[in-house]
Amino acid sequence: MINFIKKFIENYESQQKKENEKKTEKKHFISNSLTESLSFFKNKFGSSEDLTIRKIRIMDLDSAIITIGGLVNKETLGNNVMNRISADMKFNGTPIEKYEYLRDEIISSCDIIQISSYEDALYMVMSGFALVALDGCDRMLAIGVQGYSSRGISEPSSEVMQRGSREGFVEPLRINMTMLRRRIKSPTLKFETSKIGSISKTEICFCYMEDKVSPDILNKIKNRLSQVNLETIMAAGYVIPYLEEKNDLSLFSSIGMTERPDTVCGKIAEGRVAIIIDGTPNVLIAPYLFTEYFQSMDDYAIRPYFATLARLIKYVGFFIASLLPGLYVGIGTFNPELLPGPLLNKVAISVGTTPFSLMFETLLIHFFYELMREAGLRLPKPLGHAISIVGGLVIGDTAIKAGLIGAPTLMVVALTALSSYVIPNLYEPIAMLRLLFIIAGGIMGIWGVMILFAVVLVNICAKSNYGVPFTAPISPLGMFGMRDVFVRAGWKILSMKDSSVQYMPGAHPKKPKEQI
Amino acid sequence: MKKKLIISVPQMFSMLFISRLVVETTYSEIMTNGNSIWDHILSAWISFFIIFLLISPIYFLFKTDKSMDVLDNSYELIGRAGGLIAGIYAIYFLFTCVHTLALFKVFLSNVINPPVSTEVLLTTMVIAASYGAYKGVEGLARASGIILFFMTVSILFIGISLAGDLDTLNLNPFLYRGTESLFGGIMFMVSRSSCIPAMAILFPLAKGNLKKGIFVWNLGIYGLISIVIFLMVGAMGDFLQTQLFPVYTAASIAKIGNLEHLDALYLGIWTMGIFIKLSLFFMLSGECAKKVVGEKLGRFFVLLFGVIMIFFGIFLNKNAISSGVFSSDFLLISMLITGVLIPIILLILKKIKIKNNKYQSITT
Repeated sequence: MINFIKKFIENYESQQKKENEKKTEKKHFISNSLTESLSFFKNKFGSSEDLTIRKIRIMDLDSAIITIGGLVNKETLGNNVMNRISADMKFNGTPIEKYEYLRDEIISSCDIIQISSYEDALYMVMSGFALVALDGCDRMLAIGVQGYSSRGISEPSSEVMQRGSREGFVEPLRINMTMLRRRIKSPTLKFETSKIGSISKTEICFCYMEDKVSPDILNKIKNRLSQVNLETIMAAGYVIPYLEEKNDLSLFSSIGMTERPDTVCGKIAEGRVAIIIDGTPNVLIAPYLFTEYFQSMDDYAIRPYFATLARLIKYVGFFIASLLPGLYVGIGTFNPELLPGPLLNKVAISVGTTPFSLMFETLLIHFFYELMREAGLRLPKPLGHAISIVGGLVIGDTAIKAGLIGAPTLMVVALTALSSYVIPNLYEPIAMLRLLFIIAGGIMGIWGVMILFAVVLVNICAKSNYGVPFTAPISPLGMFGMRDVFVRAGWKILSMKDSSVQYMPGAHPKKPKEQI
Repeated sequence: MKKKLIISVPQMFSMLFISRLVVETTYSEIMTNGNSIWDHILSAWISFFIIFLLISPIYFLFKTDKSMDVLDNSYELIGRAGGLIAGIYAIYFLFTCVHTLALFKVFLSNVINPPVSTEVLLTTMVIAASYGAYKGVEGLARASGIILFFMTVSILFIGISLAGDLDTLNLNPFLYRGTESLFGGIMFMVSRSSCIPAMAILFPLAKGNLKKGIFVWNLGIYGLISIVIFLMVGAMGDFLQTQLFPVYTAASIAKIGNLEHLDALYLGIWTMGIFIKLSLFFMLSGECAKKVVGEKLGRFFVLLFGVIMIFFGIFLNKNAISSGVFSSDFLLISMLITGVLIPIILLILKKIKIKNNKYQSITT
């Protein structure tokens, strides 16, 4: 039965893939007739207001300039295209010769692309290019006059840094590429673009250091992204499942995400591949290790002693955030003998004076906490503060005074919430784990928590992406790799050896040397 | 067929160390029928040398062709009858799982009052172990590395806390109460060496210095056990004689400053140890079954093994754990068959085959 379902899914996927391939491969070549070309655009866009077709005569030929309103900079269009071609131009020759003359002698933009199919023409015009079409020519000129407005470069609010760059990625892909190039002025830094999304045709860019990356990893990443069969890509999260291993049911992702160009530069210098997706400031990093969730750019900008302390706090925070409520419920409900006497008294009084079981109480407070968090995230900032005051102080305090919930439980949940913010990138898996641990502890006590912990541990440890173990260099242990895990060694030690990701202990991908 | 080296020697021995430690930290005078835990330090060091001897047939068999495990060798040397040997190994590994599960049950029902019925807990443990086995040797080996770290730190912590209560008056001369405990201890430690047959399958998967690994593993086990016994007896004396799980008792009375009830630590590490051991042996039994009946039918057998584990785990009681098929005699015999006898036979057959091949190549 399972095999039948698997085969059915595989067949369905392969059919979908073939259909997508057909859709993408089929191209319609541009007609010689300008009228036909213009009617193609009119048919495609219908009554859409943003399509602008300006009919003019160029060198005695009926011509048109096709743009999308709002995507082009009118000043650039005027200076580089309109002003140049509206002057009295005289050139005798065939339409093709006139087209070539226009392209080589007249247009002053350095960003000119020759288009021969309607599909490419549509893509270019919707990317902010101006199309110049001449009657009698089976091709068009796409001139780069993009001028759409975008958000300015600012510090990413989710990755604030005390010392270091205040720049964060923005939505346009090209600006993000320049931010990386400005930081790594090496010809080995390569950018390769591609398109995904059958409708959105979203541009993505693979960014890597040629002399650092493992060709094996790079090829696998490209191959996996070529299999994306989505219609639209609106956020980086859309493509993450395609970059991860098949049937990966782990709560943790082996694909990193950042808004900081300096972080991306650091990662690609270690042999990783960054994937920039047009329209989102979140850049993906592959492969990504578990230990990297605990690293931040600040660690490298401050003295190693304090950076080490900060690291240890993050690891302790991770364990508190995921395990503490489960252990509290498990021990408090079934194994209170494991608690020291004075603490046991406090917990016992609290449990005895509240109407709910410890598990239900903890789940309830967690639910309210997540409720307040969601409300605070989506609301305008001033209202968000009000929510935290009302939720945290008023409701919490009143609930304890009314005897609905116990003070120790509230404290455990508050401590857990605080700890989970120490590693913001791990918030989602931690929130899920926390719930699972509470339920395991509430049903089976400390045994349930321990069994679940072992299962989660095996789940994380069995995870590999692109041949690199997710838990490296902790397990498989690599002593040199450990210089940047629990301890942040000084820069002299950090820079002693090549720390490319493919050299991690237990990593399987072929190293560049072996491939040569 | 050449096997892929997917784990390192330290990783393999981490798994085996945990599997061994799980058993070694549950021994008691009640199980060994002795009267002096203190003599088990001597038992440990005698066992240390015996284990080396017992491992040697598997090691030398492995040395003849490093890409083949005992099952590959048996198929190569005796043809389809090799399936019988694979079947014996599958049953032995399954038997070890059931034994471990029964030990877990005894611990649950006699030492700690479990929050839910032991049957539910055992079933949960088997399901969890099945998941561990499904994830494969690579995931288990990596997890073992981390669990071993936690285990070592916890045992050290418990040891240090016990050191404060050390009283030399509790330390009797060795063999003060006769040799019964000494031999009982040796029997206990050697008969439960299920890791030796496991090595017969795991060796070809590991990359690194095997000799060093075996030495460090064996030394680590018995060194740790000796230290634990020394601290336990020194701190608690004859009180331990009456305890079913003395290491647990020692952990529960240990304290450092305001930190007390370190039995929680023991519970945690022991549960995770049981998980690793069950997962490893469950996976090994499944691999052996797959070797006999093929990949597709093998999956059914793995499912069947899980049901058998739960069935026996539920119906075994405290008395059964140290009698019948779980007596030290039976455990020793089954371990000697799979860990020593079969490898010796295969080694002899292999040597004869190599000699014949050499002779044939010279004559042709």
